[in-house]
Amino acid sequence: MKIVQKILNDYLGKIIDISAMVIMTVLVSVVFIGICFRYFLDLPLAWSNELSQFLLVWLTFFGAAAATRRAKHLSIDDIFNALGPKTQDIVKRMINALICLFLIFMAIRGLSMARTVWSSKSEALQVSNGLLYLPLSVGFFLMLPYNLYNVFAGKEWSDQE
Amino acid sequence: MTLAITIILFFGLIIVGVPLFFGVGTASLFYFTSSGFPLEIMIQRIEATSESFSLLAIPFFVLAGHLMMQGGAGKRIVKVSDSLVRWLPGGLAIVTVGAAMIFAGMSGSLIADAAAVGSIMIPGMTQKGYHKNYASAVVASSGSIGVIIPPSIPMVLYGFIAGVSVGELFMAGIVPGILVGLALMITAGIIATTRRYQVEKFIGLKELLKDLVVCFPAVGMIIIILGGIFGGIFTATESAAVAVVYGLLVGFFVYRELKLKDLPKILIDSAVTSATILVVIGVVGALTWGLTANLVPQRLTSAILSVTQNKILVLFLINLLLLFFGCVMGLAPALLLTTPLLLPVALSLGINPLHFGLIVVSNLAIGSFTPPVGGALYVSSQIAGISIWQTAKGLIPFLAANLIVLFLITYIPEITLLIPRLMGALG
Repeated sequence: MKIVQKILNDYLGKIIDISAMVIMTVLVSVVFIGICFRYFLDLPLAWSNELSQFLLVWLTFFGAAAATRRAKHLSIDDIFNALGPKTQDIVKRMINALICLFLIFMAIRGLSMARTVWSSKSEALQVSNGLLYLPLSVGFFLMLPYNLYNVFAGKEWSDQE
Repeated sequence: MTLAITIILFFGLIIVGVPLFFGVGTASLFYFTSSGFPLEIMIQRIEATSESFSLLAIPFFVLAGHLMMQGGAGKRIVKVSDSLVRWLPGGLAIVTVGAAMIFAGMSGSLIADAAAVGSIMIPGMTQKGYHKNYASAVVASSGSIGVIIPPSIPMVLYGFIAGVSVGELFMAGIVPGILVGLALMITAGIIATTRRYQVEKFIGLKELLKDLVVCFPAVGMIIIILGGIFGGIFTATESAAVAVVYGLLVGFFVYRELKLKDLPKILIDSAVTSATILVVIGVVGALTWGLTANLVPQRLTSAILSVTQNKILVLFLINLLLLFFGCVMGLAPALLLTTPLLLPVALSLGINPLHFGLIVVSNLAIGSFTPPVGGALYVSSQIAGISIWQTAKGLIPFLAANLIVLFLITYIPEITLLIPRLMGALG
């Protein structure tokens, strides 16, 4: 279990975090550059709007994976917290097992969706529209190991920063 | 039948602690499958909601708020509100509300505001002999102003769902936000006077001017955001991006409290906070698509209107429903779930969507400081070192003041519509 924890925390976790940070940074820069070009140079950049939309989708799902790793997803814990430790353990395992099923199912459907639209190109950037659907699957596959870990470990995964 | 099972499934899941994202996701997966809708549409809806340009404002506002707080704006804002109003009865409590109103203009996150203001003001108030439950209650209740005074993330969410301009919603929030602030200040002042809390002296004009100058760069962010949007220079999303850059400049070069090594944590925290909201928007968007395809909102509307067409009564019922949802779940999820269902009802009664937006947000904001799930309540109680029930006892008069303002906002549309009208937004 130790080694799994190390991989999830030190390797996969770092990859997720760094990706989210990079996307966030690029996103701010792209929108800000777009504004500067429009107002100061009177040159609207068609690609900046489109790129920021692509990046927002990527940010959403990488950020969601980072949230899974930190157990930060929005939830209502009051009733769960009132349960006894034994019941909590069982409930936690069941919840995570359900989440795993959901993630696997949606990720696979998302991949096939991405493949369907892969050949169509976006207007300004001329990149594949599949890149809009890919992050959903990528994000879900990145969350999966953490939820799977919780099924076996029984307690909520929490990041040790 | 399908609908009933979906609702039971949804509540069953989230009650035992399944994160909302997966709870709503599973419920809509069930709803799509049993209604025979293609799952491709569900995936497309999840994706389409998260590529919207207006929602980009969310990560940017969150990031700008983090930068400002980390960059040292927090302390300075509290300092200047202190210099301005400390000489009033219950001065420090009024300072707290005032600081919360200024913060509201920056972070757009209610829990962050409560934490920032509370960590300075609660120790300050208890030191001066204010009761802990009063100090904690002031902080918790003033946190709710943050989502009403612009810029506000819940308004961005509402604007997205209702299809109204976020800029106009921001205009509509000004008067209601100030009213809530004044109501809380007056309540705090009355209680402080009856309890004979110590009254401070005015610090003098010279000191006040000095504080105003120091505080100006922090307040400058609000001027940029609101001035940019209301002046028609920026969209809400663009103003948020400019605010991020401005926050970096102020943090690094003016206050010099922001360090390069703080940036990774700020970036990742903002990404996580925004993503947890954005994914819920995605799955709720999918579920709403399914419900709308089956005409559920329309049927709900006609069901309600067949019982009564009385606008006053329907608004009253809507308020009760919203208060309930606000109390049992977080503000953003409650807003995402209730707006698509209730907006058609409001529109069919001829209620302006801007006005309705303020009704929704003001109602749900109250849930943010009441038990059992009020985020601001937990933060302030924790800082004060008392239980949430002790804070809740202190909250009663503030809750009453808030409900009175809510009543005014609900039944006097001009409170919300005056400024948008003056700025020519209502045509």
